[in-house]
Amino acid sequence: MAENSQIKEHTIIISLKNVEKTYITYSESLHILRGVDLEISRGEIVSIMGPSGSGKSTLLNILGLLDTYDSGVYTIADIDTSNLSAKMRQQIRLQKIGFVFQTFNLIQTLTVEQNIELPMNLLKKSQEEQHQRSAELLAEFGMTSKTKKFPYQLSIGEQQRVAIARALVNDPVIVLCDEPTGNLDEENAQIILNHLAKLKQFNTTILIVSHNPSVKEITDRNFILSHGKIQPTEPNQN
Amino acid sequence: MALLTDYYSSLTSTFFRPFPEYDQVVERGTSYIQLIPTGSSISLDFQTELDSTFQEHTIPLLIVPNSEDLLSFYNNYIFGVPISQQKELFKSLSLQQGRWPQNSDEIIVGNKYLDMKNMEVLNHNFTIVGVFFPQYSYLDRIIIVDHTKLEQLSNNVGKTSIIFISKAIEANSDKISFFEKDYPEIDVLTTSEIEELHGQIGTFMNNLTQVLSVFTAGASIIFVFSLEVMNLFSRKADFDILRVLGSSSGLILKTIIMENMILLGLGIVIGVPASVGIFSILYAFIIVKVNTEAQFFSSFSKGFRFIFNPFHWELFLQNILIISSAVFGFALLISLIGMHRYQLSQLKQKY
Repeated sequence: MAENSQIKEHTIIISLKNVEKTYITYSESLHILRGVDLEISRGEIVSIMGPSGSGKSTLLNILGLLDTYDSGVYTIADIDTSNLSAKMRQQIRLQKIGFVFQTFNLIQTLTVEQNIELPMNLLKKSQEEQHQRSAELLAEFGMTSKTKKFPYQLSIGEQQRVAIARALVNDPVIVLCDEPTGNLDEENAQIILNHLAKLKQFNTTILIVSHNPSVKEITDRNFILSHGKIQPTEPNQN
Repeated sequence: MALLTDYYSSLTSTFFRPFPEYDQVVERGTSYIQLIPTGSSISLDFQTELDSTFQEHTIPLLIVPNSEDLLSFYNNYIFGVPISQQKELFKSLSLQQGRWPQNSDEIIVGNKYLDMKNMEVLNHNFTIVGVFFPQYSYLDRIIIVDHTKLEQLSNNVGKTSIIFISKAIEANSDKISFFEKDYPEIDVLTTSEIEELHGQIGTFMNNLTQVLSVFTAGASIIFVFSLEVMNLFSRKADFDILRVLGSSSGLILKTIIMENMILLGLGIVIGVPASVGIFSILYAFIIVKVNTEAQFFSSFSKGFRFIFNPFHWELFLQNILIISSAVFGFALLISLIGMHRYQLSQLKQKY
């Protein structure tokens, strides 16, 4: 554990320095991010909260390389993202980032197994490797019996577990979760949080954007995003 | 569209064409015309009178007794033709082996009987002295016997039922018109009239083909296009997810094109033979109906059958190439339009 702690302290996975983002519409200019600074180390679970319109989604889009920023520096796993081509951004999304969405975003025509294997498929990994990895994750999330089911045959809690498994399948350096419990009831929300908490043992870095206060039970650090600025909140008790 | 119609025609004839048997006789190069389908309604006296009139006009006779068992004799076609006129009447068939008959015990036959020296017809042994090689397979079964002999053997003396005259004689239209004036109750169909009739059918079928081709092609394009656009629209969310997860726009385009090609290819594999088959049946049905209505001799209109033409590899490969190119082009077009319309290759912000 001591060794892990060292890694945590010294390996910065995500680094944002003075990142700014402005959206210009016909009628106005919206300065969404006003110099965001954030560092997340390997194995950390971090939450970001904030009122609606505070820029959480914009920040997630930038972190997930789904959107660009106007100024500042954003590095992910020591890769400066400021001048990346679309192809490079696509490759980084595929290899280094896992995505978990509030609405799961599973492909309804693919089975659970195929959904999980999809990112590996895009990386052209062998079928054997894909099956082996998806089997590991399905076992980890207690979904082995659902391997051949389609998403619509699963409960919403199960669908989110499949989504998390898909996010982890390529061993990303960070998993970005947008309201992972937002569509779930309390019981299923707790199950999902427990699963995310378990990922700490694998040194997986997780960033969660949520309104759910229970998220703080599993996080190492919490931030609040307000008026385009990010601030740490009180340290966790656990 | 004319190109499409021509192509459809070529496609149809590449694989199979329907023809009632009569159609083949007329359309496939014989130089004789059918004159009077008479049958039993004409009295023996009248028949004799007709014969003598033909002789008077020096119109050569091709006679087939009106006997069902004779016509169905081993499914062969037996024609009774005066020996003296066989050479002239059958010159277009080109006797390619042997010689023309010199007496009523000698016959000439189609090349199906190439290896035979003798043949028994109606319990009479004939010597085969000549063989011709017709261009079309059904004619290879023809047996040409002296008409007087055939009448005698089949107990049909004087019962002429079908008479053919050569085109050369038809050209001397006076003889036909004199004949028609003398016998107004006889419906004389000359080659020109038959060709005209077939021309009408042909024109009708061409028009029908053109309308059907335009309609089918238009409807198919709209249908397939709409279906594919709906398909792409319904899967827009899936493509968005793929893009977010790290799929390239090229991979998405490739996926859509492959799907389209498989669907269109399947459609063509099933659709083309089905449409050609249905159209052929329709064509054959119309020909038979017209023949019947025109009171052509019923023994020549026993319904239709499919003739499988020799397989033309060159034409087949050419068609496959054209179809494949069309499928690929259409698949590419739909995919590009769909990609552009729904911005499938663009990265959507999912948070």
